[in-house]
Amino acid sequence: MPVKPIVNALKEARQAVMEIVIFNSVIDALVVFMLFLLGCLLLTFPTWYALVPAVVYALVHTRGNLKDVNFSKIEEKFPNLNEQLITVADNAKDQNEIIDALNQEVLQKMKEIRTSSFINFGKLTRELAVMAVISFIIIGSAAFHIKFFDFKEAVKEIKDFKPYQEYDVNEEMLRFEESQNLSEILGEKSVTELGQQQLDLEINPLKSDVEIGSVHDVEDRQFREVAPPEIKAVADVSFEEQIPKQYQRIVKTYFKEITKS
Amino acid sequence: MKLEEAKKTFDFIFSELNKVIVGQNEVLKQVSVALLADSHALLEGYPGLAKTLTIKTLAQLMDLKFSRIQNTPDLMPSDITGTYIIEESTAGKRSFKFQPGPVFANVVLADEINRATPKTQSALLEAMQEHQVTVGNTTFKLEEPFFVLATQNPIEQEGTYPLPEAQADRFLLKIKVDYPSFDEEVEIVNRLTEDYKKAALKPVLNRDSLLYLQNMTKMIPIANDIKKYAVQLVTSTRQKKDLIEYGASPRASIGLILAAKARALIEGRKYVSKDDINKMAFPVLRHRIVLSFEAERQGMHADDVIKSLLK
Repeated sequence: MPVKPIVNALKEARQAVMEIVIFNSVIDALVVFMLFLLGCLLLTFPTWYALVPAVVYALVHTRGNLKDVNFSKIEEKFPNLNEQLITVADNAKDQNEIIDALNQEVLQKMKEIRTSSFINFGKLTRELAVMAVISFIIIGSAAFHIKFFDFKEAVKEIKDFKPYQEYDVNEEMLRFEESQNLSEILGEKSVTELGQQQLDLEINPLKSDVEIGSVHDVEDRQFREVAPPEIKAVADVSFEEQIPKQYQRIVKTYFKEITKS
Repeated sequence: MKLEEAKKTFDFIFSELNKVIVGQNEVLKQVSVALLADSHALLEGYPGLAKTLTIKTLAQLMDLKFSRIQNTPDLMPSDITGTYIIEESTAGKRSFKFQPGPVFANVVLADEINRATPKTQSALLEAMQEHQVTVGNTTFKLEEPFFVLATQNPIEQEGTYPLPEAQADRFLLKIKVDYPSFDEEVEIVNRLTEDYKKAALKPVLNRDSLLYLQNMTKMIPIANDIKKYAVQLVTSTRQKKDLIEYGASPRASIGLILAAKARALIEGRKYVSKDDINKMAFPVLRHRIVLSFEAERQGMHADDVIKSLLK
């Protein structure tokens, strides 16, 4: 059975509307993508981050718009087809003289349907203008290295901020016991206390490396403010953080013994 | 006959009717809708509003067999359906012969149907529903097309037997006949009080043409969403319990869509519009719903409730 011309015409009309809807969705998604891309560039996010919301938006938006694709959209644009197009579409499979006459009438009126009638040129122009402006902003911010926030640095700082990064330090060992016995820090009291007694020092010249005759008053010397390049401060090895766990106790005990003696 | 010719025919019928009936255009249209939908109509209005004249004139224009039943409380069912009478032949032989009643016509005017007893009403209603009459053991088919156009008076309640809702449901439309406008009434006075030449009416439609138009009515296409709207309108009468105690039956859904199609044909449209459903909702539903006490307490009429259901 040959397909009725009206059936083909209805298919074409529906297809045309669907193409316009998809086109509008693609343009909207592009605008969203460019906005997010600009955001990613200004905040130094990876650029592929902009794709995710754009794709999600495109899918949701297109799905929603495609659901609304029906003949009532065409009838809204062309009032002379009001209620007739839907009637013809719903009764496309039936045949009688009245339906045939209605099909002919609607077919004639459908020749006036232009695809351009479904394009909102105002909205399209605005979106293209927005895309052009965003493009210029992207080019400008890239050329002048404009950044509002360095995401990569922030991530690095967060990583470095971790206090117990590589060691599982035994907190027991770090516990500081408070004690009133100051002899461990200050030394033996009997040794430090001089009192009012006069202290006579007798230097045995044979047992001393000091030559009394060559001892003079301290000369006033001018020191350079800038340290010579061959001199640099280095931290003592013992104070480096990278002390293996099994030696930490030894190091601590060492310093403890030093203060005692 | 094409649809455009059908419209022209009805335009001509209305113009011919207007030679006899002043105004009442919507009533004439709705009566025509009932004829095209192959169903029956109940006209309700105060006395003197040309209800009977409308139906008589319409029957005259359609070249159909017309009969009138003046309902009174003493009317018997056999007065409507017919009965067997004894007939004597020339040879002197007597036999029973069936004498058809006034129901054996194409257009039956049942005047003041609410004055007949329930038993007599049911005899007519059986003919309306099944297009046949049973007398004794014999069933007689009624000739197509068959319409009953009944009238009733809303103000005379004493000595009347209101049609039960179940039987009022048999009428496709309940048409309200209102008073004419001032200008129309002046025209009526001019015609009937002065030496006004009575219009000579010629038949416009014959039986076969009317049957063809009835068939054409069913061919009018309707969109699915409009069909659903009509059905949703009828079902909403069953759901609005605050205002409607008993809603319309599925017969109302069928009647509403048929009436809308008939209206589309009369207006020369090849499709049913939502406006057709909205306009025909009133005559189709007003006699099929029973208002609740709350609605009556608020002084609402059936038309007010139907208006609240329309979108």
